[in-house]
Amino acid sequence: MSPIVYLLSTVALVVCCQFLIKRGVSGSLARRGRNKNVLQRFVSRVFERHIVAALCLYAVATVLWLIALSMVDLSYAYPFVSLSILFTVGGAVVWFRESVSTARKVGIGLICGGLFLIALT
Amino acid sequence: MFPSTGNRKRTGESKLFSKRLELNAFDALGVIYLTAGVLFAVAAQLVLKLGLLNSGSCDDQLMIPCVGRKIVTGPIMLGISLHVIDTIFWIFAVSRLELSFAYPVSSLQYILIFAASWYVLGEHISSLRMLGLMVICAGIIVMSLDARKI
Repeated sequence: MSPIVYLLSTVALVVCCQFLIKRGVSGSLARRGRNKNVLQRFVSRVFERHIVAALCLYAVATVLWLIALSMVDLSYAYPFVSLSILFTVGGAVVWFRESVSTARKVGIGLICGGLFLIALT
Repeated sequence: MFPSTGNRKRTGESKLFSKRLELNAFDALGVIYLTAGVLFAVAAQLVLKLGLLNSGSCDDQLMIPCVGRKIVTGPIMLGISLHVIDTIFWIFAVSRLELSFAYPVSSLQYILIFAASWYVLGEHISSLRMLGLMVICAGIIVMSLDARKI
């Protein structure tokens, strides 16, 4: 498979992790942790099911990243990490109903433009 | 590997972090954490790439088992550990610093990784790749202009 497939799958998985983590740390956890000490709160947060799922996906993403990295230059692969910003912001708008300012849209446009230039090389 | 996306969600949970809401862009300890995070991120990627380069080619084999065998080698495990440390430093850094400051500084990672790819790994950085890098960094800086609203 082309290295770009591995790079894009890594990015997709990492973005899924971000949503799962956001889901996991939002909502009831803040209340649930009220009467516990720091360690108990940390443990209950890390072993929340969305967070556990995110960590597992992250491990898969790491393997895919290593596959990609074994095929292409580091200076080609690393800028693809910035693509996760685009999808994370996009998903945040669609699923978490966050609003996105003009500055952020312009920034994301620039990131995609730069990435496109690198992908051409 | 993906240091700068995970933790910036934290500003959304202001209740959890209400004690630290008075953030300062030039908190000395925060800047130290941020610098350490950036350096560990660069080191992690370099060590991973060097580890992959030195453990032979996967060309004539199935990719996943081949890379799977490489993961359990020392350099790759070291690279992954460095990446974990980098993530922890980033979490500490953004808990003390304004995102509009931490964000652009973290884009230094891209520049340092390019420099290291060229200097340590001897990769060829074409002018088109260089231009792409500069446009990405400009994009991250423009995004950070209103990072407080994330």
